[in-house]
Amino acid sequence: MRINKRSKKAVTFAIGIILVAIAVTIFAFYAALTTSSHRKNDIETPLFLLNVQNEAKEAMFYTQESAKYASQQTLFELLKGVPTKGNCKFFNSVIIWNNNCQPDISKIKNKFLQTFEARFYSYLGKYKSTFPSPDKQTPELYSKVINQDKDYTFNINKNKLEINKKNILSYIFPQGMANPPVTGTYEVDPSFALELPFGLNEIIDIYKASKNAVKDCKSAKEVEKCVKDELDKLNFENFDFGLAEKSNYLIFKATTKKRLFFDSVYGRASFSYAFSLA
Amino acid sequence: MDFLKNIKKNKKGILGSELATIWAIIILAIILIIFYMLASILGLGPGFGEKTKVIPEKAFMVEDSTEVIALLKTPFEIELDSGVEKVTLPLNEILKLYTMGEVSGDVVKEKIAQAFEKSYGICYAFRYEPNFGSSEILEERWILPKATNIEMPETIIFLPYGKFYFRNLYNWNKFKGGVSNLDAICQVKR
Repeated sequence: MRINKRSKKAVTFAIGIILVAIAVTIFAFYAALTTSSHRKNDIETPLFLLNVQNEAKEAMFYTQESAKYASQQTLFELLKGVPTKGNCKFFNSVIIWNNNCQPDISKIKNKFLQTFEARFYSYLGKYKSTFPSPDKQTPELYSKVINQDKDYTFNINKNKLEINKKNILSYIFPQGMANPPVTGTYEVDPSFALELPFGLNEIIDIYKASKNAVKDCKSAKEVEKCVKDELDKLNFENFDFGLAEKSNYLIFKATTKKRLFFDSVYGRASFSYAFSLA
Repeated sequence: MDFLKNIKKNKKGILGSELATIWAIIILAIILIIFYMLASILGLGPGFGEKTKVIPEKAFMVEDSTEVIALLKTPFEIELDSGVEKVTLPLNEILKLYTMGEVSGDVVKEKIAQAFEKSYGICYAFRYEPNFGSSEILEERWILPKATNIEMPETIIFLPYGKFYFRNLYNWNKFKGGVSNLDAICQVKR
């Protein structure tokens, strides 16, 4: 093939155009990929955050529900055997309260917190994250956020149970969970306060009120009625009282006004104690 | 046409050789077509004859647990001990009572219907799976969306005593559009 000078120039020019076209194509691909990645991130990241935020809300709801049931079960159990200090005696299997045997608030609190803690963590350990509903991601990873660290602290303030966590809950976005990858953490402070059906101090108040009522009514004609009236005057917010007089003892039965959940029972918790009328 | 005539007659053109110019243009066109096709295949742009979707549908597929948690916290009055006592309890506690066999499934269904009749009518579906006890899985219109393969957001709330699933068919149909008399179909009681 004969190529003259002009044709050579043209071929060079044509090759130049092709090279420029290839360069422009490569650049266009790069630009398209980058822009697409940005566009995807603009949509995917907030969606991912919304999902994580929902998961955090659900986990918090589960935590609060767990605390509620754990506390009610604990109170139910606590009233079955109110911790006391001193040397205690019994009448017909009912504990006799007096100056030598009376409910001990620090023991009551300790027993409550000990039992509550075990029950609360037992519930948290069963938490199964339902996140994510959209494929790919692992629910186990998100379940661990609430059930792996047992670093909660519990404090009772009147009838409020304060539940605080030392470390806040961190939802780390693991690699491969979103495409393109999202990095960062979503943090939640899971601390909250829970209202108990009654305050633990109320047990001490009941002891004191019953003791005073018995003291004032000992010489009354109808001791039982007198004591009942005395207790009614005090108008206990969370307890009702039943009384029975037997062999020089007055047996009290204090029952919660509210029903509590205890395993497969939804009923009122109660405890009995006796005072000597001698 | 003059351009083609010029090629035939003079065998030379604006670049010195019309043939080379045509080849350059053809190759350039092929590269552009390949680029466009590849971009479509890789999803970097709109496909052939397709319109760009500005808002991806999955943006609306995100579950929103706020509404369902609020529902579970909503208090309802129920009767206990065969009507001897009336108590007001949040729905999540009523579900626990259902789990324990203390209230019937119909009571739960009635309370949820009560909560939604003014906003969604009958256009919602739920399923409750108790963790323990002898109570059975409780469902309301749950089969329908699964059977018809409708893909829609589903909220799942894990409770200490069971699992609660919820679908809002009213909001989903509103979002999808195409239903003009949604309130009438859903029997919304405003």
